[in-house]
Amino acid sequence: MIKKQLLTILLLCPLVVRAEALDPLVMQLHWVTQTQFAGYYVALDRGLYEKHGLDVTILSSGPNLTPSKNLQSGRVDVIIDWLPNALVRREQGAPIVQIAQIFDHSGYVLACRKDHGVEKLEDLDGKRIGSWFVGDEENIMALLREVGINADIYQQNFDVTGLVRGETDCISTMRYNEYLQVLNEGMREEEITAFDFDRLGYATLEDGLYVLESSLEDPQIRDRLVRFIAATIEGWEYTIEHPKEALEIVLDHDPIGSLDEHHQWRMLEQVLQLLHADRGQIGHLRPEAYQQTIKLLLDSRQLLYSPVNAVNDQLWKEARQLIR
Amino acid sequence: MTFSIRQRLVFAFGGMSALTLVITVLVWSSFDEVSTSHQQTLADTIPLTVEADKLIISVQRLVKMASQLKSISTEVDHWERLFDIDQQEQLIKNQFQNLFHDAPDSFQPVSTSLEQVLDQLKLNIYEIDAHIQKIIGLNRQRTELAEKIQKTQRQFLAVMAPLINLALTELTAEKVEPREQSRKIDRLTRLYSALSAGNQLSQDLHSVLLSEKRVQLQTMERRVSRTIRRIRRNLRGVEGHEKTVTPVLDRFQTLSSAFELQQKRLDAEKKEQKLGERMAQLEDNIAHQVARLIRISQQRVVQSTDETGALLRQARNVSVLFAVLVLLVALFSGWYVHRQVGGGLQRIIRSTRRLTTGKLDLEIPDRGRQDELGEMANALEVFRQQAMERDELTGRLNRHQQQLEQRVEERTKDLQLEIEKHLRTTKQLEQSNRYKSEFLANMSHEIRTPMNAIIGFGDLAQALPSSSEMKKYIDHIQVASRSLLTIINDILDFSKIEAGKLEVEARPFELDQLRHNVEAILSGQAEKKGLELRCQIDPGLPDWLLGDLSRITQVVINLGSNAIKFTDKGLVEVSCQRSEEHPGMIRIAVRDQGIGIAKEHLERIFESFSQADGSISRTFGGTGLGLAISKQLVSLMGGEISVESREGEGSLFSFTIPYRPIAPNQTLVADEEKGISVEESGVLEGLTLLLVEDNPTNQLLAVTLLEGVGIEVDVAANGEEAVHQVMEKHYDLALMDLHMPVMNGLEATRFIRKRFDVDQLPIIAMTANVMEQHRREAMEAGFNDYLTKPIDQDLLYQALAKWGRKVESKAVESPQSLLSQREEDPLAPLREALPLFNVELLAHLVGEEPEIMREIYLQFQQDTREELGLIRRALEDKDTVALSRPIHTIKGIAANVGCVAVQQRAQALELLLEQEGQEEQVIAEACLLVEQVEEAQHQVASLQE
Repeated sequence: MIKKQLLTILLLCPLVVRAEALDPLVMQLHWVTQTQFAGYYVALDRGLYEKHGLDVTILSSGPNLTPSKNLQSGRVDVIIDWLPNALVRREQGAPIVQIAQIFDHSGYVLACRKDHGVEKLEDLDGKRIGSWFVGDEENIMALLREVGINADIYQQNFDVTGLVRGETDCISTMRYNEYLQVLNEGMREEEITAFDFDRLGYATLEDGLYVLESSLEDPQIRDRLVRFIAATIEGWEYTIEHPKEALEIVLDHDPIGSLDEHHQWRMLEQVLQLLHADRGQIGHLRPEAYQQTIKLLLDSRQLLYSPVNAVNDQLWKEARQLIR
Repeated sequence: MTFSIRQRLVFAFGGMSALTLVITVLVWSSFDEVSTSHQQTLADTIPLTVEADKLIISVQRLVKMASQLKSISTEVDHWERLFDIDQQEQLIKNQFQNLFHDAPDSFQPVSTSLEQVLDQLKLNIYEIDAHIQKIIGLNRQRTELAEKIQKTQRQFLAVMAPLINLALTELTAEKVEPREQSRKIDRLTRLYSALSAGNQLSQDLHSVLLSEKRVQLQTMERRVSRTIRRIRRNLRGVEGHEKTVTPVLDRFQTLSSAFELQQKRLDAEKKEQKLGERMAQLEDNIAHQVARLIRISQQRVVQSTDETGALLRQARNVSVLFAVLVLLVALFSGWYVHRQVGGGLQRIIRSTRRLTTGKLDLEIPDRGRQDELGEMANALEVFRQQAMERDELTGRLNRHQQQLEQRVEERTKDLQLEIEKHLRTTKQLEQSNRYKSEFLANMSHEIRTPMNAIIGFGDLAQALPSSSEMKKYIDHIQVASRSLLTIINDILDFSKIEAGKLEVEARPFELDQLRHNVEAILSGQAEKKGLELRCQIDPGLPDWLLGDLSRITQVVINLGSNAIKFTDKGLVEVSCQRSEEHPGMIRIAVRDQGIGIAKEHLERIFESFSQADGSISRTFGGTGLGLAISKQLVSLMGGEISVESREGEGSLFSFTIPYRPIAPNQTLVADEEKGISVEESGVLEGLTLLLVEDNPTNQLLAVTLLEGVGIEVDVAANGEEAVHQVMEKHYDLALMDLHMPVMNGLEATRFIRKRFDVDQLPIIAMTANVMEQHRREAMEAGFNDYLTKPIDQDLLYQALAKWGRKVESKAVESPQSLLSQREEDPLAPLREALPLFNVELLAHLVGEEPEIMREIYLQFQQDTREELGLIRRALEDKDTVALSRPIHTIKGIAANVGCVAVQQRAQALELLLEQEGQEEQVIAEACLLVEQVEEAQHQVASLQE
């Protein structure tokens, strides 16, 4: 009953808000439309952004597109990025600040062929290991350094055929995407040795929300961002509660209509694992995880200095207030 | 009461006819019944089968029509088809009624079940029709829907176009905030996405209408609704879309009824398919029922046929019974007629026949009978009485004549038998005599071969240094073997004479040679007995004569040996002079002072196996053939032999031979040969010679003899080897045996002659065969000379000297001289005129004397004319037996003058005559022979001109 009432209210809300005029906000994903970004689309589709007085436009991305440049040029208000990228770019002079850390865990997994003799970390010695070279190679090298072995790290493609055909020993995968593709293309889990970097403690933090420092100084924009975070958290919560509907929504938003439903479903399952287990903490940056990332970046000398004011959790706190 | 024969016959045949009539009626009636029953059966079954067949065809047509319902397009068409189906059903109904309207009860179950199936079939067809109508309706809806989809798509494009235009215009507007620009780009992107999604939507909807699978339909349905949602989402935030695009999208939404429609279509089709299957089942069922129907009717036919068969068998049995009855009646009638009428007639006929042969003293039977036969007998009796009187007169005359003829006939037959018997005996005798002689000739040939070895080695042994004892033994062996040889020669000669095979030659010889021979042989014998041997030749005689030296010598030696044998002391004288009584003859006489011959023995002295006294053979030995042979030889040579003797005072044996002197120049070659001791002259030294001989003993003997005088000898074991050796190496001479394995001497020589002529390589034959015929064969084959075995050492050396030297002298002659010699060849004209004759052969016999030869040829013409007449007559009579004598004669004549072709043909004919059943071929060959002889005569006739 309550749900029905709520739905009626929600349906009516846009009409009400429309009259007040919505504040426009543009965000850009760092990859194509898929269930990795289910929470945002759910928030959009279910009118959560409108509820918070926002007219949000979600731009998808893809290879060779650089959301961070759009952010700096002002075309986009919010982008999603991985923490190491953002920190490195900030140290290099880009005024980027993190306002929310959506994925509490890393989905980064090194997938290796068991029949190539990789069963444990030491077996990686002298093996060919694929990397996207978007900073992930540093995580691999850090791990190898720790174990005290060497390997041949090369830049891999965006598909997984190299591993499936046995042309290489290991590739970098995301638990919710490439790893699933590997399984989808015919390899069985028992044929694969998967090194979960999150568990090994060599993970760096991934999807988070980033804005320009200037956006925080403009009280109007800052207000919009707080509302955006709130609606987004609500979107993710709804996604956790209604994963099937979330899947449908993402598929409906696919501009080409070519997404594989099954793959997207499994991706969604994995993605939901990466969110903070405590629903009240979704979007909040866990300090230990942040410290671990910084340490890895510093160790690998990707960062020269420990970053200062690179994250701002004040907006998240205000957003949480809005949700209550 | 007695009936006449006529009456009795009428009764018998009348009875038989009546019975036959009864049978006919019976058979006719029973067959009528069979036919009726059969017709009835056929009338039952055949229409049934035909109707059943028609029914099946109709049902098949109906089923086909039902299946064609699917393809109809218009309503009119549909009704037409339904009408057709209805008609067809009516037809089937009629056929069904036809089939069963008066069928027997046994068809009842079939007809019931068939009717049921037909009803089901009808129902099924209506159901099918209903479904097909449904499908047609659905198809129509589908077409409409497809049009709607297309229309809606066009509308969608139409409403989207202005939205996109607007978005594009907004994007290009100046002074746009970056954020706003991003939003505008996003909007445009979404519009394009919506546009392409719209296209996809209509495409998907179209494919739904064509989809044949339920599963596909479900997936498609989800996809379509998602696409509609996607379009709506993409259009969110685009101003003005609610008014224009949303209604179109709603319209798209309604088009989703395509899924429902397609679902229905698929269901209907499935149902229709099921109905079709059921239709096929029903058709099968009908076919099955009809087959059952036909089977039942066939069973009925079989049953009816069985019944008919039984009826027929019954009819047959009755017919047979009656037929047997008729047969019995007929047999009885026949027997009765035979006995009563036939017997009487037979007796009358027999009597009549005997009367006609003149036997009149018989009793005419049946005269007491009351019927027609009795009358005939009485009439015959009257005839007999009259005939008897007439016959007595003529009978006597005939008997006389008969006796006479019989006697003449018997006599003639006896005579014929006797003549035939005589002829047969004569022929048999001749035959057996010929066999005997041939056997002897062969035997003596077999004996001569080992004899050759004995004497030859004896000669060689004599020449060896040995003890006096040994020498004596060897001498004995020599003497014994030579006398054995003499006996063998005697037997051979005699057998040859008997067989008519001994022939005398006419060659130039030297009288002195005769004396030399006689002295050489006889002096030894005479010396042994201490007798004086005197040889006197009339000095008035020429040195050279024409004749057969060896035969003359033989006779003289024979007579001389006898003289020495029967003379113990005194003189044996051989003399030779012109005959006083016959100036054309020479007379040679042998006189002795021996025991003489008793008068009574003188008459038989020249007969075979005859010696003056039986004791003589014991005392003096010998075969008793000597004088017989001598007599034959002398007569063969054209002379006579005679004897004068007085017992105790001695005998005078003398014989004559024709006197044929020869001019000295003819004897040139012989002159040269005269007196030469070849052995010592050394002319043979260094000659190369090929000895061809298969018998190792004879090889050794010959090689020893030849190498003894310095001849280089190579040996070949048969003709084939000889041919090879001759080709490989030059020889001055070849000495060749005639009888050899692999290739005999004749063949080998013919072969060699193809390469070397008689001058290039002289070949001397060497054989135990002494028949003249063999000699001639050898000469024809190309031999230069002919030596008989046992080999006489001197003769061998002489022959070698003659031919070996000839080659030497020839070798130095220039080709020109050869040519000139040929030009001067005296035989050339003869050779030219007589191609059928081997002129050299005659020349060899009589010397190269064209005049003499011409006379001989003319004589040939004369001689053959008579024989030819005989052959022609025999041919006309087709009497092959009569052919043999003239052919034999012609063979002899032809051989004498060297007319080889005629000789060979006649010889072949003789062989042919000996075989039976060859008459036709004999006649054909004889005709050819006649032609050939005529040709030969013709050639000779040309000599006269």
